[in-house]
Amino acid sequence: MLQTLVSGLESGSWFALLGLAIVVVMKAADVPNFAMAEMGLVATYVGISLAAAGLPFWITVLATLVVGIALGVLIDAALMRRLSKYGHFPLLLMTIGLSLALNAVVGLIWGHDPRSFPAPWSGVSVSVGGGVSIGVSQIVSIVVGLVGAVAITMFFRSSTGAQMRAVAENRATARLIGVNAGRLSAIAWGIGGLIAAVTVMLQAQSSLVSTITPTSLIIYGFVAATMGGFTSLIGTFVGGLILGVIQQLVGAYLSTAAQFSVALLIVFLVLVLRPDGFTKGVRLRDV
Amino acid sequence: MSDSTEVLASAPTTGPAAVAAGIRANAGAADEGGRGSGLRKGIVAIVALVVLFSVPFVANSYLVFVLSLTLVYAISTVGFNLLVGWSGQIGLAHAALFALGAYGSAISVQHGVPFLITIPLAGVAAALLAVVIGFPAVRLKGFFLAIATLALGMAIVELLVFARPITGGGAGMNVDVWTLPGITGSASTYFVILVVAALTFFLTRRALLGRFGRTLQAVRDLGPLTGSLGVSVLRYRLVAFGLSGFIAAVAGTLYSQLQTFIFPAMFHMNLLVPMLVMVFVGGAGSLWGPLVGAAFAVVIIEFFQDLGDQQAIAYGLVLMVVIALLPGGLTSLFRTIRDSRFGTALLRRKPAEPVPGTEGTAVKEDA
Repeated sequence: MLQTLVSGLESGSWFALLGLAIVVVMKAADVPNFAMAEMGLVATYVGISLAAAGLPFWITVLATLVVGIALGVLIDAALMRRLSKYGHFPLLLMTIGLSLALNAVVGLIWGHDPRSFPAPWSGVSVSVGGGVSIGVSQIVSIVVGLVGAVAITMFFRSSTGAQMRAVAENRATARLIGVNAGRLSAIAWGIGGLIAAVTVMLQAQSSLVSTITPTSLIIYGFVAATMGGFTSLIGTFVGGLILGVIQQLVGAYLSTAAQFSVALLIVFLVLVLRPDGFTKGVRLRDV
Repeated sequence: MSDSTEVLASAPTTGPAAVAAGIRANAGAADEGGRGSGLRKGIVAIVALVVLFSVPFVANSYLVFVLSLTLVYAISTVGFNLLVGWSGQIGLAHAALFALGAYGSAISVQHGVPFLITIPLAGVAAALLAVVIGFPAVRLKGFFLAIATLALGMAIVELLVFARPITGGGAGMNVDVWTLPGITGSASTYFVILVVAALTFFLTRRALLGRFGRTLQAVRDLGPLTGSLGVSVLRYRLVAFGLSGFIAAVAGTLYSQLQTFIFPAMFHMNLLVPMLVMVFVGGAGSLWGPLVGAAFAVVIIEFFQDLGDQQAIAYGLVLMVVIALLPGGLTSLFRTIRDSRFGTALLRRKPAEPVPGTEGTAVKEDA
């Protein structure tokens, strides 16, 4: 039971982080990004290749993060910004096309075999008594997830974050009072790419990733973001954790094949019953 | 761009602005009906049908298969285009409804129902399901609707994997192919597909050029405002969902006959993305766009055959390029060229005189 719970919190942290990445981009750039998980996958695969070339672990981590940020900024500048005047749908389609293309590019360059990102602590586990042992990589996932969520929340309290909220609220007015919306959307995409890289890296240091990982990961990320109504950071984070736990419980007691369907059902129910996210009304005001 | 484009452009749009942008470029599509005489169009259509009917007798089986596939995708895209282009709703469960048609027909045929009867049956079942899927459209707008329908669509395909005793699960199932007496299976499938395609195009063209299509466009562009005209927004949105689901399932039944073997993985994102490509390459909200889009998609499929990754890259890139550069799709490109000065000179037509508020050229030429 404890083991299941920890596994749930671990995968929940991945979902929550990816959900947060989606929400950040959604807030500042107004794009529902379906290519988020693929961006993280590309960054992680670059890191894995560098590690295989013999570079020290922390340098490869740094390189992965830099690739994630660069990819985000590049996609924003090259593809997204010119479309932003048309609204949601072409942007959404653009990210769907991008996710397909990025995934296939990864498949062409690195192949479709699952890979892992070996960390110094991979495979080490801590015994907590009662015959239950928890992997260090699981603890790393949960802690990094928590730190990431706090960092993003802090960021939105900063001056840049406040500008971002202003743009999300009303783009035209924000620009009138001197907010540089283009720079902000680049920053948001950079942060999104960074978080996506962290997410996939966390999954790769704990288990395996391959070109089929993003397909389910992005859905789970969107489930988490949906639970936060695409605006609430706390709702997204808690939603991601709950989703992870539910998913592990379903896998443990019902069937692993049902995990995906349950997640899809949750999205649908949340959207139909509480389109603003399940934390709406819990807090007085979510921007 | 014709003058009607500007008239439309000034109309308030509550729907997804982008779809509207693409549709605006295709605003001339609705005028097509008035262009040229009805008799001439009828003759062209009949000649085209006769030529298409004779194909299996002169061409090899590969060409027949490619043509059949193009027509099946074209039928399905007519439905998708009706939902996305004409009613402006982003429902992404189309691949799942297509799968429902394929599986519904294959299973019914296995239980002794004649294939031809399963076509409308699967259509009606999918239409009902599509209305249920579209029901969140009452509350959800834009990409929230997209995510809800996408999730539900994926769940339906997952269910197909679960229902192993009936559907064969992830391993797939064989389809009993229906054959006309005296000819080969692929030729008779082709004939059925051709008849259904002709009917679909004829009927949707009539519906969309008439009152129904205009109302659908009004609901798309004005949203709840049309309520003051006595038009129920909710009803038209759901009818659009139902109709597109019906057409998707009909295309699905034909697809199962054509492929003779179906499995759930056929109907995931790897089908939905090409479907979106077909709609947008052809041009959202255009009449003949689905045929152009389907032909384009089949060319990509056949060109990159067995090269999974390259095919995916091609689809992804094409979708991105079309959305970035050609919001009206290929058919709008043809129209832009034809309406340009060079095009008019080429066709030896008099340039249209701009008459605000009317469909200039069409009225003039018919008089």
